[in-house]
Amino acid sequence: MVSSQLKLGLGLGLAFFVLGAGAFSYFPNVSNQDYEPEQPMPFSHKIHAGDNKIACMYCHSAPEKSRHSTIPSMNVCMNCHTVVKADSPYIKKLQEYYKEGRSIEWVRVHELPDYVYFPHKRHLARGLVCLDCHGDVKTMERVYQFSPLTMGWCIDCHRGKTTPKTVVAQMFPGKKNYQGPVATVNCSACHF
Amino acid sequence: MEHPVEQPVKQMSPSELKQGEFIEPRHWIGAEELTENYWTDAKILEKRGQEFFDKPVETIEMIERLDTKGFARRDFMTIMGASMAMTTFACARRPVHKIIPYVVKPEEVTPGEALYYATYSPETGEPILAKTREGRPIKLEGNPDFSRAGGALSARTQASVLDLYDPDRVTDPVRRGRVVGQVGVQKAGFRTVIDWKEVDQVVSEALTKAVASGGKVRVLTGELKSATEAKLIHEFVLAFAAGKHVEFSALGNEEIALASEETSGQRLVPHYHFEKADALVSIGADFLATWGNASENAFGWSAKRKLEGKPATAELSKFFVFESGFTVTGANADQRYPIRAGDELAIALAIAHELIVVNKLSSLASDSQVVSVLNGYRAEVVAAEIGLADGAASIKAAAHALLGSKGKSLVVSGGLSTKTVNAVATQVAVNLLNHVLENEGSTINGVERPLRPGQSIAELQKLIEEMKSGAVDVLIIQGANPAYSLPASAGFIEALSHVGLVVCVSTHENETALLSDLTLPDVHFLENWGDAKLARGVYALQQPTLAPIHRSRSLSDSLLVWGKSAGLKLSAEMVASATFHEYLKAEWKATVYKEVGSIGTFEQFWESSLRVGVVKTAEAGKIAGRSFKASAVAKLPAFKSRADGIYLSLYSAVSMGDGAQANNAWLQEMPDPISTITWDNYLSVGPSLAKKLNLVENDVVEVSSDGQKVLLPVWVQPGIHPSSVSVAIGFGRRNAGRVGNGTGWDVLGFSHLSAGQWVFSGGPVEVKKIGRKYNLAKTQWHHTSENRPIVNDITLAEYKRNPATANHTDPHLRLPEVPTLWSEHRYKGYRWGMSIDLSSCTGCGACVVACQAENNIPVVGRDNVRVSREMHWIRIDRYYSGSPERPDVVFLPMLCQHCENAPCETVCPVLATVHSDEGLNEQTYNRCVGTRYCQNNCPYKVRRFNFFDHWKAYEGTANMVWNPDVTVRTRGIMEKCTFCVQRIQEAKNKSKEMGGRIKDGQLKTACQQTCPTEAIVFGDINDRRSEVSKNHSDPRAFKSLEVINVKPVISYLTKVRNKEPMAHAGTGKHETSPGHG
Repeated sequence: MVSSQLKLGLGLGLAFFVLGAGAFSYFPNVSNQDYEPEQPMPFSHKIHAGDNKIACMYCHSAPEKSRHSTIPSMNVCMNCHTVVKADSPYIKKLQEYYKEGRSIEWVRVHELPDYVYFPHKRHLARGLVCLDCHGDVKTMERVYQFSPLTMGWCIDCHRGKTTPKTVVAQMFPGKKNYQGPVATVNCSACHF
Repeated sequence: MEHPVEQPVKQMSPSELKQGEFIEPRHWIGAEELTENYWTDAKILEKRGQEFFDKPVETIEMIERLDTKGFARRDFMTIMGASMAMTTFACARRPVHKIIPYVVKPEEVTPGEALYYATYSPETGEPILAKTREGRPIKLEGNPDFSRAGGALSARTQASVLDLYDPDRVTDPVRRGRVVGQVGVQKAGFRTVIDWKEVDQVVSEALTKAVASGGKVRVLTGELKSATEAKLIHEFVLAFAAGKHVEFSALGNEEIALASEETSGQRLVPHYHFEKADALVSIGADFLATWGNASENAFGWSAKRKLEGKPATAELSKFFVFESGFTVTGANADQRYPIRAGDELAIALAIAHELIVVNKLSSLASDSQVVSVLNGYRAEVVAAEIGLADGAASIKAAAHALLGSKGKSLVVSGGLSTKTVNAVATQVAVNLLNHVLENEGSTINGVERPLRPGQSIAELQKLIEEMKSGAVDVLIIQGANPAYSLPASAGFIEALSHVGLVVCVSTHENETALLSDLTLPDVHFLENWGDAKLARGVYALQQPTLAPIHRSRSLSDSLLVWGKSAGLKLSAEMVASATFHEYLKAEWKATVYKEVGSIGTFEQFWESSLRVGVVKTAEAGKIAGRSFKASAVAKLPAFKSRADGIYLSLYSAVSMGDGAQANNAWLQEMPDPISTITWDNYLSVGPSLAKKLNLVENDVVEVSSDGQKVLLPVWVQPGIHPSSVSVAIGFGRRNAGRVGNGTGWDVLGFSHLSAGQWVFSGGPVEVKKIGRKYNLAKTQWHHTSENRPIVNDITLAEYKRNPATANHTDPHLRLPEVPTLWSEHRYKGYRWGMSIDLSSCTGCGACVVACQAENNIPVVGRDNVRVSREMHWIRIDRYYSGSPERPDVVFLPMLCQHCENAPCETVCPVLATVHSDEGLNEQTYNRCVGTRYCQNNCPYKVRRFNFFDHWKAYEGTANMVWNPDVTVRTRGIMEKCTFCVQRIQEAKNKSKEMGGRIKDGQLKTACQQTCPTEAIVFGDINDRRSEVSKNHSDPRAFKSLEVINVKPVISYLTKVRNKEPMAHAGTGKHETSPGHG
């Protein structure tokens, strides 16, 4: 016979589990930090940005003038790869795709929900650099999500808690060791 | 809503007094409010209190009936359970999303940044600036380079971007089985999708055969705006021995051209300069909303309706309207007189009699023929016959206002309600008036817009006859839907069955397409090339903003292909051009380029013309009048008294036009400016006729005339003549698409073609109650102001005495400073605010659709509108004042007031709505849990709740219309006006790049941008020099419901009417000045 205490315990446990699962599914506010999906092509940022020192914005154009920092179009790849490493099987595939007018379907690593508006250009204009949020991409063989990209993480920076010192110094040139907020925390700054 | 009986404040407006005490309201929504019963009857009070119509049973039924693509409630639990289990056990991350970059990125495209193209809408005749994102147009705005409309667009053009993505469009050419000689779609008929190769083969063969058999080829189109396109079609039909091109439109203005031919010998439609008219009389012309280029007209009209500062010397134009329906134009008139349908000629000639015979104006006063005709139309006789309010004084007042502004006045008439059997005579009378008033060459430019020979109803009638006799081999139809828009009595459908080959170039498989052999997918105007002459010396270019979405080809391109494949003898220009694009370029090189005489090559000129969209030549601005032949007056019919009865007036609704855009859900759900009814047309009946026939709102009546019978629901419309009823065309489409089918009733059967004219209005009808009911979906009654002072209007005389008359800042209305629980807000940087000038607002509703396009506002459908669930963030409330027989109208655009003491903010349990440090009342969708407390607590009723996943209705290509800068809201989320916060952010981005603040005027909200009269002003009220700051401190400025102390950030400027008595007018009656209560 199962004791009533055990019953109660089991019941409570189940109740907590269900509630917890419910809450978890309702607020899927989990960070995707360290997300490192496999890509359709083993593109190495280490080789491109690290070893060959190609600037980020050579391929990821327009973050300084747009909301998005874009994934390069195929013609950007072909700027080099018509010649460079043209015999590699992957590059051959790339060239084939390009000739056929097809695109490579990359798996998205950094993604914010649809109700968040993050403009790259405003952040670059304030002196943030790619590294601050995306980590040291030039050492990554395969790119992973370096930062949590949660709302708390955004707000901490806007409030000045985690803002890079160089940025603060540039924004408040007169004030040494400025500690206060550096950017707005209005809801409508990001949600509309 | 509870009545604030226990309000502690003394000194309230009388309307705020105890329930049960009846005080006639100054502004009312419907005539019901003028009865004591409405305010005291317990049953009515209870019903009125049911603000949100929430009946759970209905809601669940609705989920199951309407939201079949969504989840019913029971399924919801199952799915919740399953997804919970999945999240728990699989512990899945978010779904994998792919990024698919361009193969070769177009140089000019930056993902995330908008690209603008200047183009033109041939449907409404407005130059456009199309905003495209990643290659697809998402929002249309008026081209600001066209200075005659100031960047404004009408509601119909605003909505036309949705037509582009209509999932019901024809995607491929279709061939149908049709037996020549048999009417209608055959049962044994087939429908196969074919390719363009087959189309070209079939058509070329038929054309080659036609050449051999005498060349009876006809092209039937809607009225073409592009002279170049018309030239190409003309050259195409010239290749046949008996080819012809006929153009027609229900909204055409042929009667004006015919009258012009009679009075001046020129068959043209002149251009009107409303911006120059100090006195304006409209006889049935709804020029502010549906007649001509309405946004251009309204922009011009508003120039003389602005009050800037100095009350003592303020001037307004004098504006009289005589009309049978109740239009937006009538609602804006200083004096509006209801007439019977068909009385337009009598009114025009009575005014002429007053001017020419009584006041001896012009040399025509001594022309015995003219005088003898006019003598039959003495003001007293005409007024008595029509039963005009104010009697003959109304006609005399209008005449004296015109006389007082001789040379700077304007008389206009036009539109469906004036297309009576006397339509041409009415226009002759209007020409007579403008001639004696010396307006020709001043407010009327008579050297533009000649009609082409094919733009003629007589030609159309001839064509139908030819078709009937089996003499037409090939008929090509484009841009017109004659099987729907022509009345059955015209016999078009029967005639169609005798035509050898019927080719219908159409965006939809509409009524005509179903009776054609070939239905060829037409391009939308945003996918097409074209041009237009906007005015003398002003040209617009139309360029594609994207490649055709479907396998569509324009008629012009097709004609070039067919002309060559059929081996026709084409013009040199056609031979030289492979596409219409090339043809258009060649035409511009030969004409506009020469007229401009610009330095530089043609290619440079072409590129720059495409960039700006509107090209001006030295001819621009030149103005000339027409001559006048007095002999035309002698031919006018003598005055005839009409039998007692009910006369019908047809009109084109602001949203629907002639019905071509019936499948556009934005337009279907746009409330009519006057009745606020959506999704249907209805019979407008005046209050006294309704009483006589024992009709109330929603009664179904049978309207009959000459064997035509239509069942229509009744709408009791204040301000309609007791012997007149009116109803809109453009509804009752049978094959418009999934949205447009089954909305309203087709009343075009009441029109008929006779002797070269398409007669719409003025005929007698019988109206019979049949004892059924139909629930019209109207919006204004969803919100009642409970007789609180929500809006204000005064006369010019009162304004001159005290500009702040009755505008709620009167001391007896102002609350004493009430201590608040909250600390005051401080706004250090920007503080966003708005002002709306009620004197300028015409109520046209363009802002409602512009907001819908900009902010991804869903459409909810007729059933949901009936239970008050429409989603519009801005609505135009319409209030009447005065007597129900002849009321004045004031429009109050109502949107989130972004209150400083916002009642919604304090009740939100999850802080989803909060106040920003720039004065915005923010709504954060991802935080909202949908308690609707805020909606309940909003005194302006501007918060809208997503009861369903309405966005799911945007199927297939339709979801390409979403603005990617605005979140698409799901079920259970509250939403409301954000002051276009995405535009604020965009403007901030731009200004920060420049290193400064946003300058006044740089940032415009969507509603402000499209307003044709610039009534809406938005800006920073922390900037003392901004226009909005100036308006906030204008003496006319008032806050709506100021007494409740929520401190709105929108200031309304009191509407001022030019109703002072005129010095020599002798109008006995003068409106009493409105006081409170």
